[in-house]
Amino acid sequence: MKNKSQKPERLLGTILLLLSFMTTNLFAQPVTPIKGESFLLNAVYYSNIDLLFVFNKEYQQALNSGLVFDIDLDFVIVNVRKRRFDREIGKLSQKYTLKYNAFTQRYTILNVNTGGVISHASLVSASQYLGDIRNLPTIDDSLINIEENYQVFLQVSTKAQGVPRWIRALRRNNLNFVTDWIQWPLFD
Amino acid sequence: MATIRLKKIPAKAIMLSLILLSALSLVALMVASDSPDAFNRLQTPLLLVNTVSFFVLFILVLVSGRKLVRDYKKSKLGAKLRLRMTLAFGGLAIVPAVVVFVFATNFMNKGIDVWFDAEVEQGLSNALTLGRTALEEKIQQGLFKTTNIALALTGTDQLDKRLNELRNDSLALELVVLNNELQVIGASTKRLGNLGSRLPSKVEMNQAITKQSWASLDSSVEGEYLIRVLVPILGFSSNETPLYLHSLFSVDPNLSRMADSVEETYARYGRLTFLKTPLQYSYIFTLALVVIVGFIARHLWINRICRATSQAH
Repeated sequence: MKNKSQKPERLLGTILLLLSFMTTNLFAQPVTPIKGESFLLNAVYYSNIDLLFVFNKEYQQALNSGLVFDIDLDFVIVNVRKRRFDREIGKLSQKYTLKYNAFTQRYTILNVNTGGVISHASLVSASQYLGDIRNLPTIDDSLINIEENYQVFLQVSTKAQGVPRWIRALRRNNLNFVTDWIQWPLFD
Repeated sequence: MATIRLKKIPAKAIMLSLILLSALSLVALMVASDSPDAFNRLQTPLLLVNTVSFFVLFILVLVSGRKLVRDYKKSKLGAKLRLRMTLAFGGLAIVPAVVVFVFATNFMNKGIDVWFDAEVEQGLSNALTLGRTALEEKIQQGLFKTTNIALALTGTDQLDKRLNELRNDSLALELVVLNNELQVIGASTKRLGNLGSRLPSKVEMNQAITKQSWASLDSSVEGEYLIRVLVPILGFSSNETPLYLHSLFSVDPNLSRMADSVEETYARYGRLTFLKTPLQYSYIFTLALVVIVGFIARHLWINRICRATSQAH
């Protein structure tokens, strides 16, 4: 009898433990793509992207310890076709590195594509800067046929530089994260 | 008879090649441990090789153990002696293996802990504070110069020309007059192409509004340190919109180099501290694997000797 009454409690405990593990992982994700939109200007399609960066304590600790993070935005422009396989029109990769300078006590963001550097006094303002991408040249209009349907796909990843795979495997949070793909139409 | 030979030869060959591969991987690990990059690159394949060796040899030990117990149960000739000898030699082999493992782990952890001594960390932190204090004086000088330049500006007529003159006099790298919407009204820069990348943010502008000045130390990709100052221009405005002067000063290259070196060392130390625990675990794991593979290989060898001895008896 005693064992029988303990069974549902155990089951409930296990479910709660699993749920807490799942939600911890859900909230631990450092970046969430919110939305993207594209527009045509001077024969070039540009994109505005909103990302939500939330670096938790562990990421902050890693940054303040001198770890450098690579933040990659991978874009794929796909021609979505009916009754045929979709066709990839172009790929674009926008790369940033985020590091903390203990001397200046500022978070520095390097745009690897342009070489531009900007620094922020707090991680929150650095996160806001990273999450607000405006007027990013995405694809040339000459590659697009206005009669067809095109979708822009985006995946964002964060990766700690110089941490070997075997060390990452030993950590609970391995500091590398890849989001799901989000998509939006290139034009309406 | 032929089938038995065919089965035995691959097993022996696999066993010997795995032991040889494990031994070679350990030598490689020892050589690679001198260079962290090489160590990082080799660690994963070496651990994989050793893990595979461990599992294969472990299965071989289990098979041979099962055979030994079966022989003993069937009271086969020499099985009792073989079992006794295997247990005795196995027992003798396990003690030194455990002793080596415990002592090696202990020494290794203590060795790593010595590197992460609290005094070293405090010393590095002090060096950082000392450097920052030295540069604080330069920041104050930059703030003083910028305030004087802002006072010397009297109107927007020929603003760029006036900024150019004032920049040359003050040895600033860049002078930019902005409105509170961060629009550039006038600018003078020593370095072409750099204007715009170093403009202040809204947050910094708000600090300059509330505190009447904002100053900060900043770094470039090349490791060069810069002093950035933002002050309100009190003498005039543009269409009644308040204006602000943003200036950029370079830090003495020698001082910049030393500051960069201190920062780099501090960051490297921080990175190692952050990775200390997984580093220790990985060393323990590697060592444990090495000891276990060695023990199992020795056990198989002992088993073989015991079989040969009991057959001779």
